[in-house]
Amino acid sequence: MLSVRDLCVTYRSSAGSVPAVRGVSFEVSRGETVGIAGESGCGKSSVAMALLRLTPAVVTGSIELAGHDVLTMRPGQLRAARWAEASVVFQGAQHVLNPVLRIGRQIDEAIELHGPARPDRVGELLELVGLPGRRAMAFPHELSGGQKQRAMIAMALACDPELLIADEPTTALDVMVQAQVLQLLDDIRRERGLSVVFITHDLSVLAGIADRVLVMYAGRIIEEGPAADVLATPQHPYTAALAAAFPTIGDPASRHHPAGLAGDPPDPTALPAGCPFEPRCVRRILGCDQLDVELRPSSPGRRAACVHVGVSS
Amino acid sequence: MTIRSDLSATADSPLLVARDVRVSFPARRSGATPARAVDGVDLELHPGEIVALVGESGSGKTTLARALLGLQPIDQGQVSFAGSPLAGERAARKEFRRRAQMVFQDPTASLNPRHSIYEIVAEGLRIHGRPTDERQRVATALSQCGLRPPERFFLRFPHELSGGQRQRVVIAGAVVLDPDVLIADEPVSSLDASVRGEILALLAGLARSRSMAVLVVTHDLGLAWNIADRIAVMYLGRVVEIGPTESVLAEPQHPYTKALLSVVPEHLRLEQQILTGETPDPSAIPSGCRFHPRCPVVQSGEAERLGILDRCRTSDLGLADTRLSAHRAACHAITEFSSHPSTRD
Repeated sequence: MLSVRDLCVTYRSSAGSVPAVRGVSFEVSRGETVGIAGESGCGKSSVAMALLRLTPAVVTGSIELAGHDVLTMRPGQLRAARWAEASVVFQGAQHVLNPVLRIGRQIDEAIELHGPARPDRVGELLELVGLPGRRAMAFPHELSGGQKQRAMIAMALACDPELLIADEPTTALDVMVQAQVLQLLDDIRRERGLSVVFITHDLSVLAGIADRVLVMYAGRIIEEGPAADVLATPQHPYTAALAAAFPTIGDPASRHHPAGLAGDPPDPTALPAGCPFEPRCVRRILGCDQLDVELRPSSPGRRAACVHVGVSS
Repeated sequence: MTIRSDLSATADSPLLVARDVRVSFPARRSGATPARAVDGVDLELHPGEIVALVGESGSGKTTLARALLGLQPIDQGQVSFAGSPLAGERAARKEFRRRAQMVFQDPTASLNPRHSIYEIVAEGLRIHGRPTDERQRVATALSQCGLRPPERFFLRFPHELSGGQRQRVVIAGAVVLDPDVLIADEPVSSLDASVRGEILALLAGLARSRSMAVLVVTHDLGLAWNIADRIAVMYLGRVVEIGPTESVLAEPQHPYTKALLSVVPEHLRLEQQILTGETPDPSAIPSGCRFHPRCPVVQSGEAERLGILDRCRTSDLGLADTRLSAHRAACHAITEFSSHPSTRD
């Protein structure tokens, strides 16, 4: 469905070029959910935006979407691919929806760009995401946070895409509403055989919905594998720290012991010579500050970019 | 100093006490019913303990937190601090405002972008009488909050710091006044996963080392598991369950707490119980048990089997003891259980 090879995203700024994504490769098969996790500034949103060329940055590598390279598409082809082949559910629905247009009108806009308007389509889509069809007449401020996020999902589904890119779709929501939206996304994916790229900073959210997980740090994938395995037995120290940040309730080890990760991610314009995680790593050894480890196979179906992987075990 | 000795409490008596606190907001249109944001809450905070006030948006948890600090006028009930009601004389109110501090959710919004870190942290000290050792106190507060060496941060501005460092500055601004109570409203929800644990560790450390009472307002049960001694779960303006953290999270008694816990992704042990709909409108609180329209016990027919369905629909109830120690909940199913233990065994 989606095949990304050696993707690099570089922002140009007055201070020189800023490499946000440095060589990322992954594939998403039909009907599969792939989660991308990492903290702010790791490049996960840059990957999402680059997939449909929605970013002003310089994008290199190749992005094959249903057999066509997104990076070499002409503007007309690209417009057709956006919405109809792949669409994006952004975080913070309140900032994405137009406050002065009715919800139905905004969904209609996407449909009309790709063909004749169908008066009953908007109602159908809203029902699909669990909103009453008459909410098409509502303005965004009349909906709650969860309802707005449902409307965003309805809009993303307007042109029957095969791939949904969800960028932190539940981050601003309450736990109960988050569970409702996650369940909705999962139901829709099953019914329609959709592929989903799910981006989040909360590794634990991926446990229930993703088939595979990619963990990013400093613009690279540092660990990948089946979601359940990566969460249960993280191999990269960064993944382990990220997983520990959200405690398992009932686990005596995390009671009264909130786990954090000291330090900040490196400045993308001044990356360390060796492993970019070395300054914050609890398992660093002599030489880590010189040697930048590539992703390497660790166990069947899993890879991690750490000097300890494949050696110690 | 006389004020301080008047207000001081013994170690095990509660420091901050709320009794039947009610706050309502008038409706926008005349004639419409007011919104009962906080609808009769009792809560106690003891020195050195961390209490997590948990609930969804619209449950009234932030309004309650503001009422506890005297930032929100209350309609009924009483908040008292170290034995005296909040609405006291002027000097006592000012002393209370030094001894009870608040940390807000978004550190970027709570810091003045044109003030240096030193000025931000020193501002409270200047309001409450300029001490001669201001510089020393600011340095100590910053370093206690993990900003070391503190002198390096004095002349920096909020935009030069990361999100986690900004939240540390906000906490330092509160700690510099040597408060007895700290109320933190979603202190980590706008921060990255990696920073979250460090800020929580800081709050927990401060509570222990200075025997400060901390109330953390949050929707995150994992946070409560990490640092809280007790949990109070709020639904539509009421505390519906309260007790020691281990007890509430391992053996939740109220069906709302059970549902909340089942959707926490870090807690996959329970079968997911996703409630439909959202927290109802506080201007139209359901009759009877306020949770009954969404309650799984009612929906599954369990309430009918227990013969309590009528009471669920018509009779409002407060917190009652459960079979667990210091653990109280407001549910007809539990009341039934404790008065007739044989019906369930």
